[in-house]
Amino acid sequence: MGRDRAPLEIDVPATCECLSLVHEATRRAAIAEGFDPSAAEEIAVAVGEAMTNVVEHAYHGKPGHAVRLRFLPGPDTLRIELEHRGAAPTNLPAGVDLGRLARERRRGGLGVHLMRRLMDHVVHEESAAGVGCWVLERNRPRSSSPGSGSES
Amino acid sequence: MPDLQVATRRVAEVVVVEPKGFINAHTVAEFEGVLNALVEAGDVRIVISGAHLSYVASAGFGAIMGLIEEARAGGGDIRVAALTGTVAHIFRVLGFDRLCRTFETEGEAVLSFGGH
Repeated sequence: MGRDRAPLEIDVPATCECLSLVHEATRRAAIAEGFDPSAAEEIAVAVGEAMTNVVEHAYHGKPGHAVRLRFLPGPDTLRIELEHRGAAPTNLPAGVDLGRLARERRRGGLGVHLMRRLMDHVVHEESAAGVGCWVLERNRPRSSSPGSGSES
Repeated sequence: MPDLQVATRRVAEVVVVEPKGFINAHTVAEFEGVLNALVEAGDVRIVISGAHLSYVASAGFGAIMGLIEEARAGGGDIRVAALTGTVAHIFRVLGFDRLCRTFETEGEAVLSFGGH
């Protein structure tokens, strides 16, 4: 997949069983776009988190739904979109307090935080037609300093 | 080959949990089930060896987060060893190095329970 090619789109059943497929497709797409293997793995984990959010929160784990995965290579970034027709996320956390979550014996609440830590730009968009879309972008590596995806 | 296999070994008073494969929202039940069973049985000195993990999503870290205080309340702890590559990086960027003690090797992690 080169930078001047058309976007790649894949429709995937919105199930946790498909997470490994989405992970592997994303990892390979990122490598094809010039990201090193560790950066590609991070991008794949972030996209997996978005997919998990759609499965568990947008569709509440109910079968019969799909996610449209779209890879959009740009000159400076790799943009990945996950389009769905489920519920929009509410109260996206600005950060997490791991100590508090642990004291409360919580097992969730880390996914959006992890997406943001691994990618350079993460947002959820909603259209008036009820289409939701997670948008994740990772800056392309510079020759001397590959994109870290870390927050400043 | 399954996506995740979770083996356990007892080393003195410590149980080493050794997941092989990857942990995401689909496979986490296997990993969480092993941890839950240990804590419920009172085996609360736990070392998770990450040497054979290709990646861990937030679900895997959430399983540790949800049980670590239970283990500590029982006089033990959940400690992590031998993390490499992306798994180690994600562990740090999530801030888990402040929640959970980590060690370079499984042996160091097991020995760290010595005085407890």
